[in-house]
Amino acid sequence: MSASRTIEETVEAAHEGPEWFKTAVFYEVLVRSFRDSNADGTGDFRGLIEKLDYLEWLGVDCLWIPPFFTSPLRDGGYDVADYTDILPECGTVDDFHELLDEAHKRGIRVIIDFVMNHTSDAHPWFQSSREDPDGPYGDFYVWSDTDDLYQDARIIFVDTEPSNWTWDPVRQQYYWHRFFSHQPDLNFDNPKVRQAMFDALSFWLDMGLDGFRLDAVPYLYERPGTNGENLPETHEFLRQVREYVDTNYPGRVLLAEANQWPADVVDYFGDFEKGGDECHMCFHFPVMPRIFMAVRRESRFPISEILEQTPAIPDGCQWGIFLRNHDELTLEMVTDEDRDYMWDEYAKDPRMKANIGIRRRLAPLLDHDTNRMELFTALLLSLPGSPVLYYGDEIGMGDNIWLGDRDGVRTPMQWTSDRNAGFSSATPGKLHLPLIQDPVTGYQSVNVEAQLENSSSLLHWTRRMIHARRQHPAFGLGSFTDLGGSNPSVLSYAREHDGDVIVCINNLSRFPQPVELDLRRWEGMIPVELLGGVPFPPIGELSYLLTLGGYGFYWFRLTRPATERPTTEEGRA
Amino acid sequence: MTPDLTTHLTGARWFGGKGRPLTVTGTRRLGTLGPARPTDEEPTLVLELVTVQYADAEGGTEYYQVPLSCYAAAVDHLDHALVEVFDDPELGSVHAYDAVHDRFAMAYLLESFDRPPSTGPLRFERLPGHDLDLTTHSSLFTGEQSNSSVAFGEDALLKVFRKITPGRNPDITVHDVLTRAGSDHVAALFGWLEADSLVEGEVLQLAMLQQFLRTASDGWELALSSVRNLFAEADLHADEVGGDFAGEAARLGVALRETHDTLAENFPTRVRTDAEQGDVAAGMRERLDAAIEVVPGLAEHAAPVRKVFEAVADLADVRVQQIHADLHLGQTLRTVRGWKIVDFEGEPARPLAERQLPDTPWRDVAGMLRSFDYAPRVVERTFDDADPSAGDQRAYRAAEWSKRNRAAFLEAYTERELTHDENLLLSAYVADKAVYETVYEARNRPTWVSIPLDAISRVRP
Repeated sequence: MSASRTIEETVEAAHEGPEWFKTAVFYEVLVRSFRDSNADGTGDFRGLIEKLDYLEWLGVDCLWIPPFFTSPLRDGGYDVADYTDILPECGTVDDFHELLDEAHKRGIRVIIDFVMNHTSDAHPWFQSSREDPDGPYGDFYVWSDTDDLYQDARIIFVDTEPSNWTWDPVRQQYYWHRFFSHQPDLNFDNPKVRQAMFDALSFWLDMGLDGFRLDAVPYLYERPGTNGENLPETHEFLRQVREYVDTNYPGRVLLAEANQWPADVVDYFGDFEKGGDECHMCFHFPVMPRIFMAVRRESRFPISEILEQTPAIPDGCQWGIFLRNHDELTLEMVTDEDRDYMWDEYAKDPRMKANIGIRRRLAPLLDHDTNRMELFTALLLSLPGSPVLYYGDEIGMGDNIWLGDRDGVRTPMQWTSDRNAGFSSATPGKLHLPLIQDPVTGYQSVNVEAQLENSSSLLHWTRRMIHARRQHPAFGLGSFTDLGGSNPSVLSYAREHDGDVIVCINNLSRFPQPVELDLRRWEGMIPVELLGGVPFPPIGELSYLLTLGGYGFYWFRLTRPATERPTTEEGRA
Repeated sequence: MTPDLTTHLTGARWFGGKGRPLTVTGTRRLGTLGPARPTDEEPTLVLELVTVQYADAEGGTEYYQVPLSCYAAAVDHLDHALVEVFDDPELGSVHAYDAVHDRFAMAYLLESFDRPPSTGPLRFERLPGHDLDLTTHSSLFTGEQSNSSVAFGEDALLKVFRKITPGRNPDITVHDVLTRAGSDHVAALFGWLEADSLVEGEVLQLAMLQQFLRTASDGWELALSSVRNLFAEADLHADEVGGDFAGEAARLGVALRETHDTLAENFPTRVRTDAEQGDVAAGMRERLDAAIEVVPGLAEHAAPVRKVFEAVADLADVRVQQIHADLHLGQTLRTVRGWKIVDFEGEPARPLAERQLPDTPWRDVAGMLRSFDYAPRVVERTFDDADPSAGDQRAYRAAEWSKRNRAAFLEAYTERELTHDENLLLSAYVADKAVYETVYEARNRPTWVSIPLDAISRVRP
């Protein structure tokens, strides 16, 4: 530990400095499902403002808000019809501005989704482009007389889209779309498009927004003879975006959504020498299914292996990791036939395939087993990367598999056991999505109010974990060392930063397990359990023996004995 | 005076002649490292070779390596490793400790591997391609049976051979070849230590230095945890439970195939003569006959096994090559970079010359198949319930686990259907191994004899 700073100062600096995102706990919140302030049945920004005190109490550092821009909502808002306006049911731009101010007062930052690759076909730019090829927006999209170009680009939504080209009867040309046919791709070769993106980013950043999650970044450009993914032109544009943000809005963050293998995603951090000059953060997609697989196999190797395969990232960058989010993880997008054994294992295991394929929340995926939920959350909060929690998972909310598409995991937040779970005072039939009503996770039994009253609830537990994590920048900034150990069902690792050593030991098995760990590099130090503060026996010359209950885990901080004894090995290198 | 190492030797875990009448007929100093005379802080490492003569009917001579870390005075923290206090003509009065426990003494060895002395009685051989990390401390592995292994941080592992058989150690020879061939399935060999002096006209290989496999887990332990996972599910089959091992079994199959391929490319291979093949089958038959003497229950299953052995005698074109020769799950390690195979010493009970003879790869495959059969049954035997139907249920599921993983392993190893001859040969090696197991179990764990007996009862010509 550097002598010049106290631990409190180090913690403070980590959270307040420009690299705040490295130690932050993110919380993904769906505005429309969090809190309805005006009784119209849909959550809104004023409702979210009402709940900021709760989020502050929980210990969340940054909110991530999925799309809420004006949109026909044919793709969950990822089909943007106006980059500078808000869906009326969510509120107004002024409401959003107030949310930023109120969040900042509580030390909470806010990032939002931003879809660059395409717009909705309802966007005025597209309407203008199709009607007036020679007008100001005529070249805003990718038009062609034939559908022959870029045949090497795969079709992402193979179930619904026969081609990446769709005929427009108005303009009498084909337009290019990597996703749905109602989402035409913007033409990034056109400097006016790039400028329009900068203008839109500025609109929000000027208001005080803390950053963007950039959606579908690998697909911005298309070039003949390529698959149209990860092209050099795309990286060049991201560098321009980064430079623009760094110059004009320092301390704001860019988080890339690139659903690819870590070794490929790492390119989106940019130049190593410069500490990263593209996105500050990228999601590490494979960690999540690996955690599920490791616990199912009762073997640490699925997790150990992916972390071993994860390349180093530039100094100024950080991974984002999650257990669940509003989206399905489409395994196909990270599959590369023979690249890795995991996907093969998934394919063979019907339960894993179904679980990962179907949109479920954490609690039902883990059979509402509190021990497993705690273990998963402990892993999320201690593995390398900034954790992203999904709203409602902190109380073990359930899902509704009878709702179509992704709506099953987007039901209203359960605040109380009162009408509409305290989410809205609208007539129940007016709610934009029905509340969970089942006997196990219905709002009558699972809600914030009840768990606030009960200090041994999952909610209180999650809060304690978040606060414990917050005291140790090593969780966000530290190196990661897999400690191996004698027992293949126990995953152990050390996170080290600036003299602070955190050792995390996780039993992935349902059975109690012993483990012998080689901690001799820290000989003489005393492990102190982080949550209870209980000192364990000092680390000696032999293996360190621990036992863990089923799905049990420990977080230890290694401390020096109170009276520093001289080492016995002075005089030897 | 030379130290009397008899007590130390006969009490050591790695000593192979426990309980036999013996005399130590000689102690020979193979070399020393460190200062010419030790101090209180700086030890001198001496490598002693102890000759043991057995006085029983079997008789014979064995050699054991005893590395001693000698200090001028007692060293408290090594108390547990004290071997002798004696006056040495060269070193003076010394407190001698088992050197594998002493990180200072072990550091001498590591430094010598890094910068081998140009002369002297000890030869440190190195393979190119790895810079040793000299900043690490050594730590002794506990639980090892026949040798002593010392890890240097997470960089290197030094295996100090205890029983020294004059001549080249196959573990070094095979690792040397596989490392130079770039195999992914072994811990890379960094170097080895030889004494300059000969015994019985043969070289003495004393230790080998290898890549340390970080975060490795024993394949046997991993298999057992999979079985426990299966047994904990009341109503799911082996292919439905979370702890399914078939993926790992298949990857092990691939690792073994690739290792066999590399060995075949880099060691001589040839086809067995008819006479040799006849001898192999005769050996199998003799072992079966001898086993029936010990385990009478074997007799009722013997007829189909004999038929297999008879048919094997007539097999033509059996290709032999360098193999592992003592392969089972306990010789495999799961690491974050896939499966590794360890310990290429061959079957330690056999004479060195015999251990190095080429053999058919099916023998290794048979060893693994037997191990896959043992794993669920070992776990099965840890249960003790009053209700016999629970036991039957578990036996059924143990068989299911065994069958599923044997199949997954074999399929991945061959990537095709076995020919009739291959099937026959494999059956014979599986049966031969199980015959050996019946004798072993009858003598050591009589209640376990049904494990190999069941396997033998499954043999069909």
